[in-house]
Amino acid sequence: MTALPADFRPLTPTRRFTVTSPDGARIAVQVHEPDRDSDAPTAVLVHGWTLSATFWVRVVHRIAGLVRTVVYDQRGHGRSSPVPDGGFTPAALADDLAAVLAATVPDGGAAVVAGHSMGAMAVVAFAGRHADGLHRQVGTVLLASTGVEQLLGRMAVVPSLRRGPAGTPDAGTAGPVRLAVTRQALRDARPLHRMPLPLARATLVHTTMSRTATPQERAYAADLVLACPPRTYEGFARMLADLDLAADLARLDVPARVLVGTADRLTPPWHARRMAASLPHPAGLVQVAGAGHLTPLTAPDAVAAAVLDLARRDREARPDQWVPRTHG
Amino acid sequence: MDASQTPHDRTPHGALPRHVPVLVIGAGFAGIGAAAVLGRAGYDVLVLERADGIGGTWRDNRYPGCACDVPSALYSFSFAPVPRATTGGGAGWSRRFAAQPEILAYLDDVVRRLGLRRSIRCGVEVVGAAWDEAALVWRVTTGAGTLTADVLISACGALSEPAPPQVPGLDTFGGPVLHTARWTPGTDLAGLRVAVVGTGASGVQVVPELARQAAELIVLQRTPPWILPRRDRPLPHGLGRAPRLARAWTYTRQELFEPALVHRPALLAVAERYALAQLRRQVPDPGLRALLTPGYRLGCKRVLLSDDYYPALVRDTVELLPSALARLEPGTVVAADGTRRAVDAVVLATGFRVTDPPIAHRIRGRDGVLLADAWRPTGMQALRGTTVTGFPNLFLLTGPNTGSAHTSMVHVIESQLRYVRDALDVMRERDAVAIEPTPAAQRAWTEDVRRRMRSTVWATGGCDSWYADGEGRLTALWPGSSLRLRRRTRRLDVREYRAVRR
Repeated sequence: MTALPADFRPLTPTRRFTVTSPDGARIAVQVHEPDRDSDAPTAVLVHGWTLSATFWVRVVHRIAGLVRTVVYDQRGHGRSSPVPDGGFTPAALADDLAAVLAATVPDGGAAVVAGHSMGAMAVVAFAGRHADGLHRQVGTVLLASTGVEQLLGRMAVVPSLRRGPAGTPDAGTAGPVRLAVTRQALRDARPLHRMPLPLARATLVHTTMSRTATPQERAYAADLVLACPPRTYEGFARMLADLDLAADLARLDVPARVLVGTADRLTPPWHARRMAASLPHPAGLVQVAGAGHLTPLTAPDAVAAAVLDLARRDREARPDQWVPRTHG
Repeated sequence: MDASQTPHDRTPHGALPRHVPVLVIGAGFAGIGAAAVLGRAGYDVLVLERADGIGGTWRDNRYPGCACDVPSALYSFSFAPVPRATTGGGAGWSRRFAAQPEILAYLDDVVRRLGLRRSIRCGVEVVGAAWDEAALVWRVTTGAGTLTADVLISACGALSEPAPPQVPGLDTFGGPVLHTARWTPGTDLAGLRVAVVGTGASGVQVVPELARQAAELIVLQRTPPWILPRRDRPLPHGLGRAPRLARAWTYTRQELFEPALVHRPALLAVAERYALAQLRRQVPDPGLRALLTPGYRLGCKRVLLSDDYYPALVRDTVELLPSALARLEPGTVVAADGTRRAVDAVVLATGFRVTDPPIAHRIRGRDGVLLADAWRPTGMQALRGTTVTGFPNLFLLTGPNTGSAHTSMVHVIESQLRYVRDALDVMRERDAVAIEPTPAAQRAWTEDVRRRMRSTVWATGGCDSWYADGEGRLTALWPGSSLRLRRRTRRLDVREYRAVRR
């Protein structure tokens, strides 16, 4: 076994507890308090499909000493409870986030909420569903490696004859064949679990990471995905296939930064550019050269820098630096 | 004998005899074995036990999940390999690895079967023993009076004195603080928040049991242990009919580990892969797995066997803290890394004082020298693990450098008992009143042991373990096969001893 670098080793949270979502799902939350600054801003990190709070470990290593860091396991993942029937919806993910924020961020706390992939979708859905919570508790948002519509159609997981702009996986909208193959590949978790481990790993690396990923990053990510219960995998895969949160994105009216790896096959940069153009309060578009989909794991410096920058800016914000928030 | 007499009373009035030829301290496996082997050889043996029952470590350790890590087929006396038929079943061990109640019942049964009850006095603690050079006897002080003995045998065991962590707050915690070896029967931790300190042999056994009961379980881990699959299973009745075959087979299998542990630690990489495969299978989360992956060679610390420890850690209600215990505050455990967790009860699975045994602070040899003081400059040492210069007619069972990391300590105890019996026979034949090893013999023996220790995984594996004393000297384990120890303790070599004749 290759020894893991130090920043893959989980940090012990200051507190652990469970919050209950309105539909009864229990969400496992971890809070890392910084040693000194009791007045530090709060960052809430929301992981994506088939991952867990563990996924954020390298970012947590970089920010936990500076900001209060909250991570939690999305429903059906990690140590949170299985998803109740009918609970595989963006609204449920938004409610989970609302419950976590209610338990961890005081009113006016102006947290930075950073979502990755399906975690960012939860943030967008939260904005559409909990405008009051957004304005009371959230200062800024980071949307990392994500999209809010046309997810299947824009995926570049199944190889295509068409080529997009050089060096990016953007290949335009999939035709009916590629769409059908992609849909089928996502729908069923069983083949992945039945494959020999090296083949499953190779499949996951192709899908979620780029050639620049280190062996440790590859093994770590593959293990996280393989640890995901098949029911969770399949339930959210169905949700993602037909997701459209464009209307919710229009209601995300706090400063929001978009981050994407230029070699992302699952949510290619097309999404990032489109979101950055349609956000009410865009606060920058960060493109990480050569990175694949799992930016918090393979580009932790860029992600941590974005989170800390948003936290600092929000804290030092003068009214003229940000477009004033609309309330109500 | 009076029928109303309690089993362990030697005399109806409980008075100790004024003199016994052979006095044994402790009624665990070693003490019971001494009573059996030496009694059968015709010696008059008295065993004093401080607790109110026999069994030693198997009586003290009553924590949930307590069981032996050596297959039962081998973890028994060769002269009584299996328990007798109990409760309607056939003879033999019920499981591949017997649990504590079955082992304790076995020892009770051995005592009854071999008629050793009259040789054992429970509830009598030896508080001191001093060699009387003029009278050539041991003067022994007990909680029930004094007596003298020609020969003193320490059968106190290596794992008898709990070693609670040296941290503040144990007294002011405000809830139960239990050492696994001092478990109060009937302790109910169901529904409580519990912290377990330590992930050695006891910790790994108690955690799965507590994980089932406790509302929350916090496990404090200083260093992750290596854990191999246990593959425990019930044994069919009737297997007890071929105890000697099962014993030989198990003995051979266990002994196969010895060359790797002692001579070629690099071979242990094979076992490491096996252990890591189980870790990967049972702990899917790569983060938790990183905390559980040892950073030293398998075998350097005691290798543990478990099928249910890792699955317990994966439960939602269980949290692993990768840190030592710093202190207890009322209602709170505080880890060395500063992590705090509120708990209702604390279980100390922190092991035993192995390399500084308390009995060494109670035995004085010639010129009034305390055994602990005699050992302080050099670490524990004894000729053939059994006898010590300056301490005539003293025999140490499970003495220095006799511990086994790979096979049954009962085998070691029986090897030593043959040596003790031979020593007593030689003394009788030669009319020797007292014998003690020459300094040269003890020195040569210790040098040989330490030389052979250098290639072992305990010396080279890159860990801190209870096999080493405070100075890093490996004085607990035998660096060789159990067969080698048996050969080396088969006969008393008179050239190694000085004798006082009548």
